[in-house]
Amino acid sequence: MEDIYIALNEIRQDIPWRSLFLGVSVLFVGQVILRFFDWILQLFLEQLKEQQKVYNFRKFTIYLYNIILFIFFLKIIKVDMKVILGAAGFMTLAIGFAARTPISNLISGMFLVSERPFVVGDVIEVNDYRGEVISLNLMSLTMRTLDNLMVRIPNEMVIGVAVRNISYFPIRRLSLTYMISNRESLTRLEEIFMETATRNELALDEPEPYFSVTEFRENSIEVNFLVWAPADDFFKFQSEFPKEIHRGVKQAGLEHVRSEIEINSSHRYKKNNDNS
Amino acid sequence: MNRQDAEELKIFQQTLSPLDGEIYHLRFGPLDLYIEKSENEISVRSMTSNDWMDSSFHYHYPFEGMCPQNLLEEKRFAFSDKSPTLKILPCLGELPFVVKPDTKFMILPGEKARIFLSTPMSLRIYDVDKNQVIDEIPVLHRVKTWFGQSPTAGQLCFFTKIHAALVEERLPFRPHRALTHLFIENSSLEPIPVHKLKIPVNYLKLYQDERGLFVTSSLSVKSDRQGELKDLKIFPPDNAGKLSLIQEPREQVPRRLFKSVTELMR
Repeated sequence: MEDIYIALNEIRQDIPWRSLFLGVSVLFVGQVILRFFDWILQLFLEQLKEQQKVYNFRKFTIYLYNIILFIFFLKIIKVDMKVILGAAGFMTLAIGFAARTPISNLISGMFLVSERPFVVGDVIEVNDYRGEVISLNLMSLTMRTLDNLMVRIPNEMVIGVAVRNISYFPIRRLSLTYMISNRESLTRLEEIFMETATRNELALDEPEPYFSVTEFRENSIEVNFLVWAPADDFFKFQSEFPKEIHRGVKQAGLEHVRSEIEINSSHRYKKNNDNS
Repeated sequence: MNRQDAEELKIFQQTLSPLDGEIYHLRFGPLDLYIEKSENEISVRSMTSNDWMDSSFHYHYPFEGMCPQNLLEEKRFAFSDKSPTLKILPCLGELPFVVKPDTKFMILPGEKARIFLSTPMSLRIYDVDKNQVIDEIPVLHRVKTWFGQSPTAGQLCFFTKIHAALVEERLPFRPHRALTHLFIENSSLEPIPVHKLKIPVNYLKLYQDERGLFVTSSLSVKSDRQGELKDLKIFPPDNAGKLSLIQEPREQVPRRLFKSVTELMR
């Protein structure tokens, strides 16, 4: 028991209390200064439009400042830097293995921030996820899916796959495919499409709507109608416009016109029945 | 309403202090607007259509009839005990307007044309005491269009048809539309066809002249020898000193204005 007491006493005497106290004080004051300058910086930077870049700049500056502060702390408590530098080679190897994924994410994040394929607020599709970008930081992309789920995707994955930015351009095109029987009037169907597009408030007159025949079959003709709408209202338009077409077709008495959705679902129905 | 009766439009300069139970009714082109004051609140009801030719204008204060309950849009605004002083003023659109002349016309080589065109306005309801906009209501349903060379380069704008008169009196009078003077100088050797024009109303000021008519800042554009339009300028309308300023521009004019309103004419 006495030996332990003597050993602890020796350790206590060996610890450079003065330097340690000074180092901790420097760390504390350093953090206070950091918070103050961060607050000042935020006041200036919050006016800027590109908040994502501001966020990343702030993060980078804070990390760098903390590293410098920590090195300063080690110097104050008289830790031999040669020993640390000597171990650096081995540490690099160890960290390299352990932090391979985070470093890959970090580098991918830098590319994404500089390339800017999307910004916060854009609606994008990555892998099987579609949603609004909530944040893009140096490690990951955070999205809110359309059914209100939060998805975090590591930057490493985002950089390696195709990203569809749905709200990149201010306008979008809706493509509708229909089948019309040979017995029905193709001209009348075209008129219905064009009239519906003229009446619909979201359908743009420019770029002009476009009606085309895409395939002649034995008993039917496949037609395609392309119409543009503002990207902001596109989901509403996508839902409303086919309904208006459907109403127009019914009112005109065209009975043998089927939309792509109907065709696909009837194929599915037939296939299911065949399987059963 | 005729141009000669435009004096009536000066009613917009007046303030409004409705008492509990009082209704203010305004018919401004296709827009029907009812403002009803009740205890600690103001309700704004409005209904409009696509009829850009509608030239109606009348107002009733206090309105003696019943305020229609089935109007499309209704908004309620809460106030403290003090009854607010309101002002209803027209304002220009928040996006540029693409205007399409109902008949195509050309500007001959070496000629300078002064085109009188008009764009639909909105109505702003101000709380005069707090100098605050309470609500903004478009006078008619505005249709959007794309103005640009391709679906990737251009701008979403509102769309309206115009008469593009070369003499002001030939322009059919619509009280809810603001008049813009556009000067186009064709310095090229070929006639310039005017199919569509983009009027950057978001950069323009709105004035009311002595006759009561609403006019915007004027625009001028010049073509070079190759027919490329250059040098777009925004400047005060004639007799600007005698005009009452109704609205400052919504947006500051960018340094490179022409770039921001490229393809003024297509």
